[in-house]
Amino acid sequence: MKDYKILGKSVARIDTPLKATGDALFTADIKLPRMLVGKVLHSPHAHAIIKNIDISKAEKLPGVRAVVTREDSFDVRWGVFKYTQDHQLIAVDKVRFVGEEVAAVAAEDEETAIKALDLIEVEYEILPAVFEADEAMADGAPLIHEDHPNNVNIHVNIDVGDVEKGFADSDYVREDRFSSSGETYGMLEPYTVIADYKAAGALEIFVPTASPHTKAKALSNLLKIPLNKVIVRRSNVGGALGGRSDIFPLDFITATLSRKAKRPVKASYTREESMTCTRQVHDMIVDVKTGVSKTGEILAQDIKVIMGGGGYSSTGPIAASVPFLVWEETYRLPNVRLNSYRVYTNKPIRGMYRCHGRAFLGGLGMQLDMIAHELGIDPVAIRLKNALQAGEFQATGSKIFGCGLSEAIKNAAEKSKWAKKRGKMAPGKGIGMGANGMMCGFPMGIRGGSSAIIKFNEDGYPTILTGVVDNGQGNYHAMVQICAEVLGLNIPDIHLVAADTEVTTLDMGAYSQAAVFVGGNAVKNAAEDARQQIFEIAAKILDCNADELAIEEGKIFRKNDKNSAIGLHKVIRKGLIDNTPVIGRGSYMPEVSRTREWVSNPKGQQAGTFSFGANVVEVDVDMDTGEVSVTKATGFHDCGFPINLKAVEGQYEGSIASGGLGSSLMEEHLWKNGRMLNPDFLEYKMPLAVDMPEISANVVITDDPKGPFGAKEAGLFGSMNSFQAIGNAVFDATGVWVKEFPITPDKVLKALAEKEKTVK
Amino acid sequence: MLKLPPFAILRPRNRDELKSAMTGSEDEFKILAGGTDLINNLKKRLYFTTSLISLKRVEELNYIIYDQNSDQLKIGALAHLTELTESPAIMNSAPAIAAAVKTIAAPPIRNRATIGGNLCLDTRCYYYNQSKSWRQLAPTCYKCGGGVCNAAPGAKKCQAVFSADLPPLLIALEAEITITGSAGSRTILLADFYTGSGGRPNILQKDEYLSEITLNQARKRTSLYRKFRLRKALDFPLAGVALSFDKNSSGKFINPKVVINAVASGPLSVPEAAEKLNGKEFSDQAAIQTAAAAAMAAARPIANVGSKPFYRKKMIGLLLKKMAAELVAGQEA
Repeated sequence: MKDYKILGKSVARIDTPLKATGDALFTADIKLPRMLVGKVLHSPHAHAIIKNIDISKAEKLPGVRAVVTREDSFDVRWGVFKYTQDHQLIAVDKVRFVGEEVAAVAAEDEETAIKALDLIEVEYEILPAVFEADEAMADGAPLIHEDHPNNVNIHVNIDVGDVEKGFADSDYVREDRFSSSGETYGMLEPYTVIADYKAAGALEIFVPTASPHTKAKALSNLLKIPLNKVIVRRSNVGGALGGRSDIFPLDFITATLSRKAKRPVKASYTREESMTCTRQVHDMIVDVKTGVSKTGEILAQDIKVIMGGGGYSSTGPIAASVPFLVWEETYRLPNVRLNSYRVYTNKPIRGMYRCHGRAFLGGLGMQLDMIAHELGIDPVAIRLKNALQAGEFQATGSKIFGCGLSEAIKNAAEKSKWAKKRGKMAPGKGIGMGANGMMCGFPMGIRGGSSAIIKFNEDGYPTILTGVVDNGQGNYHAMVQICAEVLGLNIPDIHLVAADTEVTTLDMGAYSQAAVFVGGNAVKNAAEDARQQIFEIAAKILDCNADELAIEEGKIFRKNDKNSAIGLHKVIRKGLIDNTPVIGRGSYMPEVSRTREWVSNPKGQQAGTFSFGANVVEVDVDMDTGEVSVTKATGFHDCGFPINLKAVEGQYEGSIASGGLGSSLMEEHLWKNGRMLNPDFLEYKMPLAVDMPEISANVVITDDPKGPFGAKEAGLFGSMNSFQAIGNAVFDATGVWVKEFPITPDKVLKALAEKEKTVK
Repeated sequence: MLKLPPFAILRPRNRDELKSAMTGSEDEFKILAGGTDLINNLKKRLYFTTSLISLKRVEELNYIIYDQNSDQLKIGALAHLTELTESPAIMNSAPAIAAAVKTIAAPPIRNRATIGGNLCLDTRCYYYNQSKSWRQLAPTCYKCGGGVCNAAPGAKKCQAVFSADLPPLLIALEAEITITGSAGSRTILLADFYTGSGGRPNILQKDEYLSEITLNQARKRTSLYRKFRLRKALDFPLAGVALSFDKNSSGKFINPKVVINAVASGPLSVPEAAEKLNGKEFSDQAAIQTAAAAAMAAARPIANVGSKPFYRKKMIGLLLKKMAAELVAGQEA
């Protein structure tokens, strides 16, 4: 590992003291003068036509300041893509899931707002509803959007090579079905929006978001306000996990209430509303047929996916693609076909998740082990055999740059003592592996890049302006570290202003694993630009050329004469008096295909670079009851270069909990007629501290040629491949495959009973 | 966050004031002890309660006393669950109580929650423990004063599940409780406290409160409680089994009692299972198998809490077998 002054160490983050002491403000903590309370009326029906809405009684209730309904819809539809604009952010003609937003009130206090909701009368005509994706796709199912036959919202088709020939050439072919129920993100912070529609026509909005600039653009379009007048102030985010990137009805509704009431409005969702009315995670059915050579080389794969998308599109085209993209980022797939269908259902809207696609990535990763088992190949060996290498191209055409996948697989096997354990442990104990690649920086058009500005005050201390967002993973600290390293300063010397659309420049936010890779490159470039300007001014004072200078500890000096040092503040002041103020400017746009499109043209470079990881878990299965405990997790992460080692380790630990073992073993939505039975943290089972295994977090350093100081995405590999690692470990422990996620004890017990029957 | 409804709060300072608060109140009131369940239920507006009578200052209800000579253990209803795990009186007399308490919720909740509250815990159901707006999506159920069961359509009465962990163990230990009311006190077997009805799980009347739990022969019996839950802490039981038998029985179940939990609307004593074990060795697999089958036969789980009914039923038998195996291994609590 290269030795930097600031980078690559384990350091406490700039946000740690605030969060540890409780001083960090989250949106719900913010109070504006004259602020009202907003409350939303939700649909009680899964599928119904709205015949009439009568708000007259609610409007007359003393203390009510505004009521909004479909009359205030602006007749606009939201969609992440032009071709997916299907969602009116307050229901107009019909409702498509239980919980859809139908009306809202702003009142002086919460009690009054709740009372007012009871006074709104909505007349519905109930329509037949359909809840499961495969049933929604069947002929004759009720149509949820009349212009989408068979309720197919998105169909992504990828066909590479000659799949039929690949199967014909294969020595061994098998087909399996894997499935998973829907999940919840489980951010601790309930969703809250504060909107202040100012008399001058500007909208100020405080919201926990992973992408303030995207939110501003959407609100600008929807409310028809120029973009420079939509001020999205990002407050601290109590968990995002992929579910804070989109635009939600509450954003639009709170803004509309504020516009109507001419006062600031705060609307906070309850846990139940947060779990059902923002975004949920897709349920999924995956059929996969794989053909391999005798030696386990993948020769052909045919994958069909059906995803329950809920009532609207959200990030549909991306959601329908990402599980496959992650798979093709990991293994060589010469002949591969994907048919991925995202289907409308009468359930809440489904979005992207940090471990999106457990039936897909868990299933395909488990099938790889099934194949290895049939062919008598070690699961580590079959992964190494098919693992992509630096310089290779993925199935749909992306080039791999830095790649530590094979090294991560080997290291994880070695450190976990795989060879001594796999197949050799006591009954009920098992070990399994998962591995994956991960894209950093999607093709997102003008929103795919980032730019940063570094300004200096006359005392020599800089302020970074960047659109990068920190949802808790440490992105802010990484930006400060990068700037400090380039400018020869220390972390406390630097001030950061981030993710505030009034002052920061366009950035995609914490999306597609791009913050450190894209935003970090932009900050690095801005710092280098500032440094060059500093050297040019200092060269005049020190009477030398700019390239003879160095900067350390806030002092600029000739490399060959440390005694020549002058303070940075003097250089900054000279720049000001000479009318050449130092303002660093930098940007970065990942080198991705400009013609690649999720549905119409899924070909070409799909991300700026890729990170990799391998994860070995050990499980303890109670052979009598089927209960599974994860006892140990050993991960190796090719994150390029760890800007802050502690933050990278923390990401792995978090991904083992949320996504990792939670998704694999316990997390699932339960439903009855479109109503979620477990919309709370007692009955929706997320792992607790006592459920966590012993964790060994490690890095593989590859110094990515594209990343800032070699850095790229850090953290998703634990959550993206724990399903397969745990599923494979359960097989090692018990000899049975459980192909439905989560792997709950009843399923393990059933599989064991089936096996016993077959043996008899 | 769900908002609490408005309510008045009375804070009597002793049992006399408590009595007058209860008899003097014309409001619909609830007794507030630890509040770990009650406050959540109020937020969900499960009760039409307009006032709470807090026991916090009635310190005379918080005690744990063990008298070695009479072998009698007395626990005041207001003893906090954490206190039960730390009490030398419990450890010296019936340590299985401390072990069972440690399976309840999590330490911060146990610091507040009381033994009286645990014994009076309301029954639970996916279709009942929901917000008011959620419940309004379905017909009003028996437990809310209506005429249907949303969890088991066709059921003639409420099927909400009994979820407190201590009652089965204490019933297996033949605990008695004292109920104090405006007309005085009465002492009954804890087993007789429960109605088995999901709608109204115990016999407490409006002017009564549970004041004391007594074990008359605290050291006489060996006892164990085991529960199934999906996580290693926090969760209510999805199945539970309590087992007790006479001590010093040299590896045999003498006068055993089996009480199963969380598979019906009350804790269920299963004498048929106990009978199969009586006089049998801990290692008698045939006896344990038939006892487990009898216990499973008594379980009536339905799909109104987590996991699957078939599995919860199965777990009743498995937990009993596991306890026997632990006894053989000498690990009994």
